[in-house]
Amino acid sequence: MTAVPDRSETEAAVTAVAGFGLPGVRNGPVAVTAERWPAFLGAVLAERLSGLAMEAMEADRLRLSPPQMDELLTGQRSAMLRSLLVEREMLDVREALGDARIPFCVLKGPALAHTVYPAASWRPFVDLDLLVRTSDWRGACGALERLGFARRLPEPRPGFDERFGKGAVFVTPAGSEVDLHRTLAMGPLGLWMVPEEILERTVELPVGGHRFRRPDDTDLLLHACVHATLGGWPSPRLQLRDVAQIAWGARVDWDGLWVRAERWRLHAALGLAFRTTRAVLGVDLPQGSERFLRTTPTRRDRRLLEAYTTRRRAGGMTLSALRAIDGIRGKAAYLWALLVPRREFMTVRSRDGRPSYLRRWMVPAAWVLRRGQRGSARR
Amino acid sequence: MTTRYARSVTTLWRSVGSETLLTASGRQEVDSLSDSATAVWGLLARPRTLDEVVRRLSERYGTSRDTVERDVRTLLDQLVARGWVEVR
Repeated sequence: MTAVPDRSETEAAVTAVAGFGLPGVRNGPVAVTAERWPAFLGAVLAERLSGLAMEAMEADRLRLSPPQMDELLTGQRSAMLRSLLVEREMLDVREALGDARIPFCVLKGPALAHTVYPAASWRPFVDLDLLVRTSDWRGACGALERLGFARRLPEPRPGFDERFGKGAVFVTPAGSEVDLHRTLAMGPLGLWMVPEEILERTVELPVGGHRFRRPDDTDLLLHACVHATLGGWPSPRLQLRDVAQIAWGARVDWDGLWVRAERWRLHAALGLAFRTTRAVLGVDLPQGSERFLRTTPTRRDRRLLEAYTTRRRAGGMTLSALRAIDGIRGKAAYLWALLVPRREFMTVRSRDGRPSYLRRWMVPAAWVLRRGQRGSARR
Repeated sequence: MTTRYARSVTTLWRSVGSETLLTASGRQEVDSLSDSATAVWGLLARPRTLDEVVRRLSERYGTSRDTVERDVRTLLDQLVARGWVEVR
């Protein structure tokens, strides 16, 4: 009988890698047994932690056998090749958007790897995230399409992107990917933000002999927190690492961050991001984060965050977004787009290539049923 | 005037263990530098003369300057020809 490797030990080892070198991390050197190695390496590569694992290994905080070292090195090499190809693509995209006179800023991967991390090799990335003004949205989509990118998922209804959307993913047949954003989050919190302000506060990001723009350090942290809590739940460890890395490694204006969070109703999201980072990675955070950590979310804030976390798959975000959309006509347009999207959208979304509106309507029907059942159970 | 060598600002690169991967916009290929060439690449983080590079490497590896100079000169010529390093 083969012993089943202890998943929690593997998880602890991966988490130790994610927190490598951060203030407050107290775990000793980590070794990985042969049984746990495949799961460990799989998680490290899938979560894009290979750069941190390499650094941890070189600092003797991750003790590997020579064959394990070779496998990690191979994985990191692939990750770095991919990052380089993304950067090469970034230069072409810059030219295309420049020709269309569309200002943009680079988010996440390259903006973090080249600034807050000690070396770019610490922070692999697989795609390019760009933020443009809503008024430039169509122009930016057109520029990417002229460059050979195609939108992965069609717009549900004409005008949906600018009114309610977060962004769209563009891909090439060769596998390059650009995530074009017009705001930083889906749902109500994305709708309440004014991302144009981020574009007004950008700073220089030199890459490959060209001057790109990226969010200033404070917005970099704001976006990392938003991404860690509102982008998917539970928060991926790399996203939490980004939060801690920016918090310690960048020149964050903590008072400015508070003001920005207050205006965009993001206090609770930022508080959750800092709490999760501290709890999962076991790291200390700078004094500036205390204000966010001390803030107790109101009932309304908690419900809003649940829409992105625990109730995400139960219609929470859709229902919360409705509250953020002004006017009956706006709400109706949003619901209409989600319930009766265009046929092209349905075709791409359907797993079997047979779009069905009935199946689509079953999803909100199931939400309503579940809510009804919960209500009955409470009574 | 003294010739100095430096990494070209247009070079996109990453260190992976003792290897360095290099590419640039408009190039399809990715070049790879082995460990000794990576040591030279590391020194070119700021502009240096051939003599400086040779002196540092011969100290690091305990090898005669003549041997090191021959190899470094060849390598720098190749890096310049490939566009990864520029002469200032």
